[in-house]
Order: sequence, then structure tokens, then C-alpha cells
Amino acid sequence: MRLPPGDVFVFVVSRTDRLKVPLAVLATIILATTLAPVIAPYDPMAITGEPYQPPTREHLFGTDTLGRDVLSRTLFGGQQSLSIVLIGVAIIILPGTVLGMSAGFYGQWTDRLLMASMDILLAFPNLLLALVIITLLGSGGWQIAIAVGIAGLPAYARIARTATATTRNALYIDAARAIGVRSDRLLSHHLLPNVLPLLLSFAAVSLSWTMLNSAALAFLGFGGDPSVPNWGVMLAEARYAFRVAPWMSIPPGLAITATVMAVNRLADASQERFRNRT
Amino acid sequence: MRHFARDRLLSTLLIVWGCVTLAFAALHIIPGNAIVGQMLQGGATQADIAARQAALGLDRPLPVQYVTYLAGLLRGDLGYSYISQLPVSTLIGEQLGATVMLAAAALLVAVALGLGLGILEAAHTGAWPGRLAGTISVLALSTPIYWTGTAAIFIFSSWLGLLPATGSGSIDHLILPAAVLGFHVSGSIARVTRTILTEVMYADYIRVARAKGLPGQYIFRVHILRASLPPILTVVALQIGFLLGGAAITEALFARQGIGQLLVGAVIDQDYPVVLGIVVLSALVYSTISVVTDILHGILDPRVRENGA
Amino acid sequence: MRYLVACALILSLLLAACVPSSASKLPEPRIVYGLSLMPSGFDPHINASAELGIPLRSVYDTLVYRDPATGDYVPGLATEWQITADGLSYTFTLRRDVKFHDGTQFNADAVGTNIDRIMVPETGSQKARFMLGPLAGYEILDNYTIRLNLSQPYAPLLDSLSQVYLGIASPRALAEYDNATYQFHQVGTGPYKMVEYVPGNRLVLTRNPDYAWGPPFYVMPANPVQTIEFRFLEDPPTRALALESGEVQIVGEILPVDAQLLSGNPGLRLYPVPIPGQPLQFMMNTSRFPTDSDAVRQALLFATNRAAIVDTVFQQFSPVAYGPLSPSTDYYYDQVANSYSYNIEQAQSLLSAAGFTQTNSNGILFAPTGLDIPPTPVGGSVGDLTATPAAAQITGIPLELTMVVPPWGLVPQVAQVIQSQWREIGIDLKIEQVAGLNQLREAAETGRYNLIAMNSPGRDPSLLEQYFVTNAPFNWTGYSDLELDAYLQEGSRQIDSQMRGALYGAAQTRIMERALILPVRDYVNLNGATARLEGVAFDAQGWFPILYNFGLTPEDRN
Repeated sequence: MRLPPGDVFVFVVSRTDRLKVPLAVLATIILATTLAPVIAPYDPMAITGEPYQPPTREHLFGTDTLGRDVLSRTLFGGQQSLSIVLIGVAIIILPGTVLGMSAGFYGQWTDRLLMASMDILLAFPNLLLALVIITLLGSGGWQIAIAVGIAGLPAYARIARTATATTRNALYIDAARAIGVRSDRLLSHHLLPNVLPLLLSFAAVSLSWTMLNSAALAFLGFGGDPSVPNWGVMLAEARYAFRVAPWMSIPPGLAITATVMAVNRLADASQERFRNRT
Repeated sequence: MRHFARDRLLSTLLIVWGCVTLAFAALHIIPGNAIVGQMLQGGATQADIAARQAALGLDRPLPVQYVTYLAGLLRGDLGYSYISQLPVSTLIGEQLGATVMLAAAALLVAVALGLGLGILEAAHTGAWPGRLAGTISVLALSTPIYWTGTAAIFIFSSWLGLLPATGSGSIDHLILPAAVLGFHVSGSIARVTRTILTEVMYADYIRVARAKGLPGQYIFRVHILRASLPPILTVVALQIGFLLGGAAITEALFARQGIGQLLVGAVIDQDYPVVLGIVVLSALVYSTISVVTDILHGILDPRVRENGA
Repeated sequence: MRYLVACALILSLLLAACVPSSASKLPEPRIVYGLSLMPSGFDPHINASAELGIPLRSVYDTLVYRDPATGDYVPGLATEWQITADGLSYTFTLRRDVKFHDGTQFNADAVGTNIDRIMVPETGSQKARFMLGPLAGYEILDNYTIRLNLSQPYAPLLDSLSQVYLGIASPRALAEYDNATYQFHQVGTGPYKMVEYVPGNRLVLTRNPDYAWGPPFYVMPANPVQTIEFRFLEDPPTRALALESGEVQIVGEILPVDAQLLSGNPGLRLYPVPIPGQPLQFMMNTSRFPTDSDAVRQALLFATNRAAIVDTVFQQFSPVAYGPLSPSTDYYYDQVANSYSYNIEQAQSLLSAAGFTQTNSNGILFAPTGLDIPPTPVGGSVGDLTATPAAAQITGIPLELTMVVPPWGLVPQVAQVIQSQWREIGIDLKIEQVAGLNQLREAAETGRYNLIAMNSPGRDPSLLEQYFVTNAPFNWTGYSDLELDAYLQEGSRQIDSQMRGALYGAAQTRIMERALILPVRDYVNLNGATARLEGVAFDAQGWFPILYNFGLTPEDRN
């Protein structure tokens, strides 16, 4: 039942097949994105051909509505899309786990106070919360990340709280409490491993939320610089060319789906690992 | 029971007050408002603009405006739109029905599809039905709603000619947008359902039940589903909040009327009384949903009731 | 699962029960007209949106009309008018045979009531009030004669009076409803009556059978459309899809790439309509480095391949714009045409003359330390060199520009093409997209931009006064020039048409000489309609359809 620090890492990188594939996919995506300046055939912002071109030898994935290389834009697009997701998810899960688990575990006034503030944030229209934050911070990559992060935080905290509240009365917790385990230790060593699978799964879902919500903000006109490549924005542009160049949707669409799928598979696989361990 | 009612009323009041205060503060940090923009565009002079602002009470100190607004709110008065000059309650009332309809239908789709996919995936892990369900739910999670929406219009309306793409009013008009919005939301429900179900399936007491030789169908219905429902319920309730954001885009794509459109329009036009009105509405809807969820939780899981959470 | 199916059934029954049926009782033939945005208010005396005029132009009549072909003023509700030599007083003789949709008789009192409504501050008019300019008051000379008095001459008055914002509404309806609710119950004298307006959903008009006082260019079609339902298609790709699927019979602002496809469909017809007024343009900030330099601004004009933008973004549906007014505007000055044609060498030499002589490792031009940036010529703007980054002292000043764009009208796409074109000659352009008009104005107020996209439609060139006079609300170029101020202000005051022509010619020349704007394309509204729709025509302002002329050929039964 105990989970020494560092064990999570061991789980995630342990050599099981169910982890290998998603890890390889994620690694490829991150690598391709990081190496974009080296491997991309063109400047992602430069118009290098006729618009709406189908895939050719010069442009492997065709050209976009303005005549820019779709392959290069997809490679570079990961830089903004993935950073937004990374920052957004960090803003969601770090404070979210602490807040939610404390509320669920300690109950009483801690719970009331924390959940009342989360309730206010949750009751506030999610979209408006993000829009207000962007209006205050200005539009741009990291501003969007913060906006979608804060907008996603209360929902995650609520899940964490519910999960903790339902497990905290389990027999083994009572037993641990009876033999005098301190509550912070109880929280981190006994409860966390039990709610972790759910939290991981929900963190994976949060990741796709941040991805889609940031794209939605760009769609509504709050995206900042439209020339910076971004997968969500590329999909929005591809809509304009649905009939002329339907293939334009495929590269950014695949990139998003592959990322989301890999992260979710990773969450599933770690859930399995935790289960086998107990 | 009386305690429960009193507590919920208090917490509803707290939530509405908190939201209004948050919105009021945020909106007033942002410079400008609808009036300046509209009047400048029309060619007004600075003096005209100042006079108009004064007529609406916008030249008064912020705390005075805040207290006035709260006092109005207690009387059920949400104020007037800067642009159309109509009462905010009227503007919201006109749009509410369409959005409730869309959100309810979408939620239905989302819950049916989400639970279905989640159960399928949990029950058939590794086999093809499970994998297919998993793939579909990941697609739902990773496709932006504006893309699915345009694709759906292109396929079902323009190409196959089966359903209308624009407008609201009839059931035909509702099918595509509700399906698109529902699909969008179903992904997270499916994922969380799957996780919770698998967790419960491997819990000790289920293993005991299996060892006792209880039939699998019975175990699944009585034990596994029952134990999984509370957290699934929480996730479903949380989706309702996200529906509004999705509705804003869905409404724009399918040229439907609704609160989402009203909200985005009001934010861009800086028509703040309308924005505040929608915040109040959202707070009330959220409070109602959490009351319902809590009651359901109590029914489903006696442990929660005992702890008074 | 069974419960869910049951729930779905119950829900669908509920839905079926509340289907609105008002439009179905109205006379046929009926068409659906797609509007491209949803105005937040629909009262023409109060609200400023151009979109509201598409339906309402035909609900109201105006005192005068402008012939769309010639631009001449022709009788509307006024049969004739006299203007005094000093331009201060306009006397209108009104028609005696006109009735409002509610049966009220049209007369001079009705006109007076409308002017009162527009002028009082409580109405909160966002546009109509200002279209009346220096109106001092009116006198009712008899039941059918009214005189408008101005405090100073105002040349655009007739153009204003020909627009829907100054349409004449029934005094009885205005008395019955207040400023907020009148928009739902509008009553005019026009060829269509308003049936209902459901915000966000639809606005329905039905033909006025008694209408017999239209201007000469209102022509009754063979199979007149009787009922028109307007819907709001805000998402651009949906417009062409809805047209193709037959959900709408006519829609404006189709995407150029869709228009290209539609032109190959025999069942549909494309109506590209030039919109008078300002072209799609970027105003260049003359009070911020480096666009404070004339040479840099001129270089930017030469460096922009506008033909390529029109090809790529607008699929050749718009002509390249060369000046501050499009050719369909009154007093357009054709001498500005073809100025600053695409010429990279010219752009490069102007930039190096401005001090940007070297290229850094990223291929961006910069002005090395020690080189003086040439002072702005006399009569120009105040150079703001304090905006220059401090690091410039050591490394030189790179040629970096910021451009602010709104989300509409494919402006972001245009900006990105320009970004790519300028990058090739070493100009680094940052694009900042804002969400709406208010946000655009706020960005302009901060002054942190080199170029900003903004333009207004309108047939009368007096709209330039809002943009180029020193203290004008939209003087986002920051340019101040007493002579230009005088041309534009006098242009609004001068009633002599030749004099106006000379003044606006001089103004357009000055604006382009000093390279205050980067015009890109003349605005063209791409309307698409089913081929069965006959008589599709638009008024002198370009935006507003002449719905009276609309007819729908019966479907071919074979």
C-alpha cells in the first residue's frame, strides 16, 4: 500500500507493452516538435506555393489556405499547442490535487471553505472565466494557457475531492488511523495511491480540455497572433477549405488525436500498474 | 431535511454573490464599455458620450454601482442592456429556452454515449469492442467542436441533405447541433466512467463476490455500477458547466439562438449588464444542479450522507 | 439504456409541441435570407449596425432615395426639395398618398416626430443622430411641407436622409412602444411590413400590398416574393453550405473560396457588389517608430504585393485598392490609382534611405548605431523616438512592426500574407488579433501599433473626416495636417459639387502622398443566391438589397 517517492516514475517508465506504445508516440511528437526548426522543410510562416495544394513532392502534406507548407506548420504547431497544454495541465493538477484531496480528507471547515471557493469558480461560466482572464492578461500563447488552466482547475479539484471523500472511510484507512498514522502521512501514503488512478485518468481528460478549450478561444477570436502555428488554429483554418482541400484537416487533426490518445493510454496503463501492485 | 434546505439556500446565495462580485470586479478592471464603442462608431463627440454614461449612472464610484447592482438583484432586477436598451431579464429569457433545449438534448447524447462507451471499454478491455469504444472516446476528446460541427453540416446537410444545418425551432434543427455538442462532451464522461468501473471491478469486495460465485451480470449491475455511480455523477454534473461554452460555438455554427451566442456577443461588445445577468443565471443553474447531485449522491451512497458532505 | 430512450422520446414530444408556426401562415412564395451577423439591436434610429439595414431598408421609406446606377437623388417620401443658396435650410414637399403599415397617415408631423426621437439624448442614438450633422431644428410649414434648418452648411445631409437610419417610422407606433421595445414592432411605410423579430433566431417580413410610392428603381417582379425570413449565419463556412442545401435562398459575405465553387453551380448565382467607402486598409501610425518616417511608410506600400493578396485571399473577387476611397464612392479621385505599385527595389532603397541599411543574422533589416534617422518633414507628425528600445544603442534598431487586426473580413489572412511578403525583404511583422470593434479601439488608444485595420462603408466621402482630421475619433494614423483638416472639413460644408470634388481630390492625394494608409482591396460583398431568385439588386450604399424587386420563379415541375 505504501508508495515511496519516485515510485510513480518507476511505474511510468517500467517496461510493459501497454506503456511502450503511448510513450513512444509521445516521445516522437515531442521530439518532432522540438526539432521542428531543423527538420521542417520550410519556414512555417512563409508563403511558399499556391494555396490549397494537395500533397506533392515539394509539400508532402499540401499547402494551407494561404500557400504555406502544412507539414512545416504542423511540426512547428506543436510548440505552441504542447506548451499551452503543459502549462494549462500543470495549473490544473498541481493545486487541484492538493485542494481537492485536502477538502475531501479533512472535511469540516476546510472542505466547506475550499469547496465554496471552487463552487464560485465552477458556477462562473467557464468560457467567461477564460475570456475575462485573457482580456486582463492580453491574448497570446501563455495567457491562453493560464486562462484555460484556471478555468479547468475547479472541476478537477471537485473530482479529487469526491474521490478522496469516498475512499477516506474505507476499512484500511480506518485501520491506519486506528494505529495512529499521522493525517498528512495518511493522505500522501495511503489515500493518494488509491485515488491516483482516477486522478491520472482525469488529468488526461483535463489535458484534452486544455487543448480543445484553447482552440475554442482562438476560434472565438481571442487567440492573439493568428500567424503562430497551432494545431487547433490550423483545424479552424482547414474548415474554410473543407470542400477545396479536405486533406488540410488531417495533419493537425492527427497530431491532436495522437497526443490525446497517447496520454489517455498512458493513464490507463498506469492505472493497471497500480492495480497489479496492490 | 430542514437543515439541508437552509444550508443549500445559504450556499446558493453565497455562490451567486461570489460570482457577481468576481464578475463585477473583473469587468470593471477591463477598460471601456459598449457605449463608448457604439457611440464613437456613430460619430458622437466626447461630451455626448459622457452625457450618455452619466444618464446610465456609469460615472458614479464603483462601490456605489456595485451596491446598486446587488440591491437591484435582490429585487430581481438585472438592469438594462447598453446596446439594445432592453431589460437583461428579457434578453436572457428570450434565449434561455433554446439553450436549455440544446443543452438537455446534448447532455442526453453525452450521457448515453459516454456511459455506453465507458462501460463497453471497461467490460471488454483489450478486445475489439473495448478498443473501438476507446478510440471513439479519444476522438470525441480530441476533435474541436467547430471542426466536428462543420464536418457534420457538410456531410449530413449539404451532401446527404438529411437534416437542416441552420436555424432553431423544430426537432430536425436540434438533431445535428445536439449530436455534435453531445459527442464533444461524451469523451470525458466515457474516459472517467471507464476508469472508475475498472477500479471498482478489481476492488476486494468484488473479487470476493466473484469468488462466492455470484453471476457476473448480477455483480456488474448490483455491485459495480452502484459503487461507480457517485463519482460518475460528479463528472456528469461538471459537464453541464462546460456545455455553455460548447453551446456558444455550436450556436454560432448552426445559426441557432441561445445564451452562448448572447454571452460571446456581450463580451465582445462589452455589454456588461448582459454579461452579469448571464453570470447570475449560471450561478443559479449550478446551485440547482449541485443540490440535485447531492440528493442523488445521498441516495446512491449512504456513506456520503452520514458524513454530511 | 431503456430509460434513456424513453427520456429521448418524451423530450422530442415536448420539442415538437413548441415549434413556432407564425411564419407558416404567411403568404407564399417565401424565401430565407442569410445575414452574416446578429446585430445586438435592430432599431435603425438607435443602433449603428450595417446588417440591420438589410431587412429594414425595405420596411421604411426615406425622404429621398439615391439611384443605385447614377447616385442621383430621386424623390422618396418627399416629391421635391429646395436648398437655400447658403445651404442652411432644406424645404421638403411631402407625398400626400402615403400610409404607414398601421394605417396612420404620413405627413410633416410624422417626419417631425421622427426627427425629435432621433435628436433627444434619451433615445441614445448611436448613428442616426450624427448623420443629421449640425441640424438646428425644423419647421412644419403645412401638413405636407417641412423645412430642416442647419446651423452650418452640411453637404452629406441628403445622403444621410436617403439612408435607413433616417427612415420614417409611424408616430403612432413610436408612441405605443418605448425605445427598447419599438425594435420588435417596427412600423414604416416601406414595401415590406415587419411580422416578427426573435433575437438570435429570425426576423420576418411580408410584402405590403398597398405599397405604391416607391422610387423609380423599385420594379415589381413577375413572381414577387411575399415573405422573407432573415436568419443569422455568423459562421462563414456555413453560408455557402446553407445556400447549396437550399436552406437559404440568398446570403451575403460568402467566403471567396466558396464563391469560386458556387460560380460553377448552374442552380446558383453569384452577385459580387462593390461597397462604397473606405477599402480594406491599414492605417499607419505616424507617431510611432519606425512608421513615423515617410520613407518607411512609402516603402511598406511598395513592398506589398496587393495583387497577390487579392489572388490568394479573395480569389480575385476584389479589385486592388490604391487610395482612401473605393471607386464606387462619390468624389473618388482616380489619379491615385496605381500609385505605389508593387516594387521591391523601390521599397528597399527607401528603407535604406530611412537608415535600415544592414541585415542581421535572421534576415531582418536594421539601422546600425550612428546613422541618423532622417527627421520627419515639416507639417508631418511628431516623431516618437523614445519608443525605440534601449538595446538599439548597441546593436542597432531592427525593422520590427506591430499590426493590429480584427477577426472579421479575412483581415487576419491578409495580415499573414503581408507578413510573409515583408519578411522576404527583411521586415519583421508581428500580428495582434483582437476580438471586436471595442477591443480594436482600445488597442488603438494604447498607441502601441504601427498598422491597424479599420474602415467604414458609405457613399459620401465625408466619412474621411472621422479618420484623418487631427482630432477625429478614428485618427489612428496620429497624423496632423492643417491643410488636410481644412480640405476635409470644408468638404463637408461645401455644397457645390465641383468644389467638393476638388477638395476631396486634394485630400485623397495628400493622404497617399504622405502614405498614411496601406489600402489593400476595394470591399466587395459576395452575395450568393439561388438562380430562381429574380431581380436581385442592391441600393446605392451597396449593402442593402432592394427587396421590392425580388421575385421567385416557380420551381420547374419537369
